[in-house]
This record gives sequence, structure tokens and C-alpha cells, in this order.
Amino acid sequence: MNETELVKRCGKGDNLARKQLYERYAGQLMAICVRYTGDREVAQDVLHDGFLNIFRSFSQFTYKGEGSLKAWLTRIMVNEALGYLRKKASTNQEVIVEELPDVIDGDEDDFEQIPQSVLMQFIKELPDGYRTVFNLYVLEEKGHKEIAEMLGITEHTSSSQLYRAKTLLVKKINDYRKRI
Amino acid sequence: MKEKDKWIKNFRIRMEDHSEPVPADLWEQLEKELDMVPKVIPMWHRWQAIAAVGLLLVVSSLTVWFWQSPSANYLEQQSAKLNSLYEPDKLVPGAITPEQPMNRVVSAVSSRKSQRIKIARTIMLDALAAKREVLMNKKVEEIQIEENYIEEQKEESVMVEQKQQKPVGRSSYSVTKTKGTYVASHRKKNRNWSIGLSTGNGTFSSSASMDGYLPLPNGARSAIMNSAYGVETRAEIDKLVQFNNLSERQHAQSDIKYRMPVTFGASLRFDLSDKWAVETGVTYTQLASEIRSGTEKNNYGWEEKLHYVGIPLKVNRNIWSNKRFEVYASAGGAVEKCVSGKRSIIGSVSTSNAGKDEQFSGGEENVKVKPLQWSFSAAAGAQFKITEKLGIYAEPGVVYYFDDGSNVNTIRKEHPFNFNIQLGVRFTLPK
Repeated sequence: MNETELVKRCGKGDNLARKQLYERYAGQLMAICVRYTGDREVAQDVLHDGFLNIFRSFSQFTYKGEGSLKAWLTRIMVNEALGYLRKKASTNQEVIVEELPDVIDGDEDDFEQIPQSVLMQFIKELPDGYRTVFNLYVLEEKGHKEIAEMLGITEHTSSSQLYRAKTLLVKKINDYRKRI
Repeated sequence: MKEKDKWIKNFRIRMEDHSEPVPADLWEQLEKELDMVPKVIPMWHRWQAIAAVGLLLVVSSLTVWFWQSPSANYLEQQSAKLNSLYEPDKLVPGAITPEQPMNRVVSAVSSRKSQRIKIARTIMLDALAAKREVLMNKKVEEIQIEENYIEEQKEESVMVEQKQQKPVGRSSYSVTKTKGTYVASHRKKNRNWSIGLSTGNGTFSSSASMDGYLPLPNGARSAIMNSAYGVETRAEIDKLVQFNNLSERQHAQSDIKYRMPVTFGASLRFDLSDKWAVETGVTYTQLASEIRSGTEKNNYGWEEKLHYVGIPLKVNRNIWSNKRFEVYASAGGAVEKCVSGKRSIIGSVSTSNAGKDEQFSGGEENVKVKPLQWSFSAAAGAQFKITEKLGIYAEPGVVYYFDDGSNVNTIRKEHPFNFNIQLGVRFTLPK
């Protein structure tokens, strides 16, 4: 089944097509959920709700060529995860004060020798706020202005959180490099 | 800045295609939950389908009956015979030839005259004989049905005979109808043009509800809203609403309301013959819908109004008519183009802690539906002539709208098969 047909049949609620769509994208979407929530258990719930949302609003989706389906699925899943994070933020108002390392040494940008799972672990370890901005900026390629609107924060907060997230990650990566 | 972006870019590339293992039983769980929400087929929709099928059956069987009925054939034959009597130069049918020797002495003109009278008498006798035969047959049939009630086979053969004799049997009826045929053939010469004005609609509006949110349509996201809520924002009303509902643990629901479509039109009808006519014209249709997602306190949505201009082309077939009434069947199609459309984004947020309600307006945006909307329709029509030139008509029928392939949802996509009624006036133009 090619993508066009898959989209058409999913729109009609065909269960076989839904299953194929699920099998094709569940792994990548799960990665998004883990990246945003930082917790596998929670990520599973978000993935579940996100997929229900996807299938129920499928008739609203129009296929616009290669990549459009993945982009749409990603968007829904990111929104779902953000929804979870907002809910969490509103019930849990504690402010995390993170000690930042002073200096970034060896700002290396070669990640090839570091396994994805390790990088993922580092992202998961970031505080919620930093992680969200980091995900949106680095992996979803959003601008600070857009992120500020999405999260209801200022652009300044967004860019400073990105900076902190990056600083923390660089430190973790450098430590990891020293260990191996 | 750009130098630092290299780190970010490389990080993205490294993680782009990353997948995480998915819990094994998630699909089964999803499948179950998806099945639990059955597709809502409103009751009226089912009734509509049944009614439409019924109507189609009635109309089509009436038409077929009339076209194929022996009485119609017999009628034609008889009127052809009668017509031949009024054409003096035409040779009389051979059936009368044996009588000719007797009239040799008489002048040609008078012989023709008498022949005509004789033919007329023969036909009348035919008719009378047939009538008697019918009466006889009926009696015979009744008796035989009573007597041979158990002997089914024999009865069946009698029934077959009856059927074969039907064309003759109808003759008594056809004599009275001949007058009608004369009227019809007289009218044949008037190939009229008629113009009409009409209005119509799908007979129902429609609404549906579902759990969860509906995403804002493409393009809606760029709308600008004036808001004092939070920071200076561009419209991501949906996120704000979803956020508020999540934080208040409210259950979200989406409602779609499709208003009753409204159509106005002007038509032009040309009578091809006394039975057939073609009709075209121009129509205007307005489709409106309203969508709301969220809860009573926090919701967003949009209102859409689409304006269509269409050209129908229909073929009408007269089924029955007299001086004042006309019943006809109509079939055809139409093509419609969306000439303009507007969508306005709206939202309403009420924050429980601040106790403040806020209405958002996402402004208006244009909706473009590029593809043409094709449809197929069939209807039964009845016309009443108030004067000779002016008639009012009603056409209940069914329409099937083909999917135009666009991403704009209308009632026509929700209910492609629809029941409608068209009302209008027709003016017959003086020649």
C-alpha cells in the first residue's frame, strides 16, 4: 500500500490501513513522546491518546505529497505531548533551579560515535522546561517566536532555556566521551 | 550564531530517524477503542435512503410501464389507422379489398367515402368485439379460478392466455383515450420555450458530535487575533483551549453543524416533443457550517459559508398530463463552482482562577474550493398551470453529490446522497 492509498483508506476508517499506518510510524512517534515527556510510561499514554486523536481526525487530513503525512502525525503527537506537559506544569508548580556548568569546553559537533539511545537518555534527563524548548527548537525546527507562542512564554525565556539545555547536553556528552 | 547552529544541526541529523520500541499490546488496545466509537449514521439519513429508493422505484416502474404497456402500443396503432382515414389520397388497407367489386359502378370519390365509413365501422366493431371478449374472458377467468382452484397448472395456462389477450382487452379503454391522443398530437405543434424561477433545498440540516478535538483547517493558523491573554500571540487558539481544558480536567467534545443548504435558480425549458423536454439554467446555492471543539467554557471553532453557482442540465419526460396538471419524471446532473467562501475563526476561553471570560476572533479568511462539484439527480415533478402561460411546480427528488476531492467539508461530503425538494414557477413564452 503506498502512502496515498494508505491515507485514503485511513480516512475511511479501514482498520487494516490503520494498522499499517501504526506499524509504519509508531516507533518514530514513540520517540517523540519519550523526547518530550522524558518518561517511557507517560510516553506510552501520550502515544495512545495521540493515535486515537490521529485516527479520529483523519478525515480532516489532506495528503500533500511525500512527507506531509509524517509532518501531520508529528504535529499531532507533539501537541499531545505538550498538552500533557502543560497539565503537569499546572499541577506541579515547583521551580527547578539547575546548576549550570560555567564553561563549555570542546564544543564538538560530531555525534556519530555516540549511540542514539545515549543521546536520548541525555535528553530525557533534562528538566521539563529546557527539554520542551530544546525539542521544539532543535528537532522540530521551530523558531523562538513560534515556541514562545506555543508555550505561552516570552522569546527571551525560550532562547535562554535552549541555551541552558544545550549547555547541559554538551557537558553530558563531553563526560560521556571522557568515559569511553 | 550560525557557527553554533552547526551543533544543533548535527544533533538533529543524528536523532532525526530515531525510533523507540513501542509497547506490544498498544495496537490491540487502540483497535478495541476505535471500534467502540461507531460511525454515527443519523436516523433520518436511513429513512431518507429508504424513501428515496422507494420513490425511484415508483417513478421508474411507472415510466417503464407506460413505455412498454400494450395499451400505449395499441393506442398508437389505432390512432395511426384513424389518421389514415383523414388522408384522402392514401390507399385504404387491403382488408377491405374483397368488398371493392361491389362498388365498381360508383364514382371513385364516393367509393372512398364509403370505404372510410366501412373502415371506421370495422374498427368500432373490432372494439366492441374486443370489449365483449374481455367481459367474456373475465367471466371465464372467474369461473375457471373457482373451478380449477386446485388444478394449478391449468389455471396457469389460462392466465397465460389472458395475458396474451391483454392488448385486445385494453381496446375498450383505448377508445376513450383516443381523444387524449388527439389533444396531445395537436399540442405537438407547440414546441414551447418555458422559463422558470425556482428555489430548493436539501430537506434537512445535519449535525454530528464526537469526542476529542478537531484540528483547525489549514490556513487557519496564520490568522491574527487580538488577545490580552498571555503574551502577544498569533492564533494558536486550539492549543490554548486544549491546554485550559487539560488543566481543568474537562472532557472535550467536537460538534459539527451543517445548516440546511439553500438554493435559488432560474431555468429555461425547451419542449422537444409533447413528451420530452430539456431544461437548463443557473442556480445559486449557499452552504453553511459551524464547528466547535472543546468544552462549554473553553472552545474554539470556525464558521464557514460557501457560495456556489451552478448549471444544471436535465431531461424531463412527461408521464401524464391534462389541461391543468402535469406529472413528469426528471433526470440529469449539475456542475457547480464555489465562487466565494468565508471562514471565521472563533474561540472562547474562560480561566477559572481569574474568573475572566474572553472571546477570541481569529478574523475572517477566504476559503477556496477549486474543484468543481458534480452531481447527479433524479426527481418526480408535478406542475399546476394557474393560467395557460404560468405554472407552479414541485419536484421532490434525490441528488447524489460526487466527492470534489477538496479538503473543505460540506454537508454534501457528509451526506452525498440527499433528498431534496425544488419549488418554482414556469412561464411559457409566447411564440
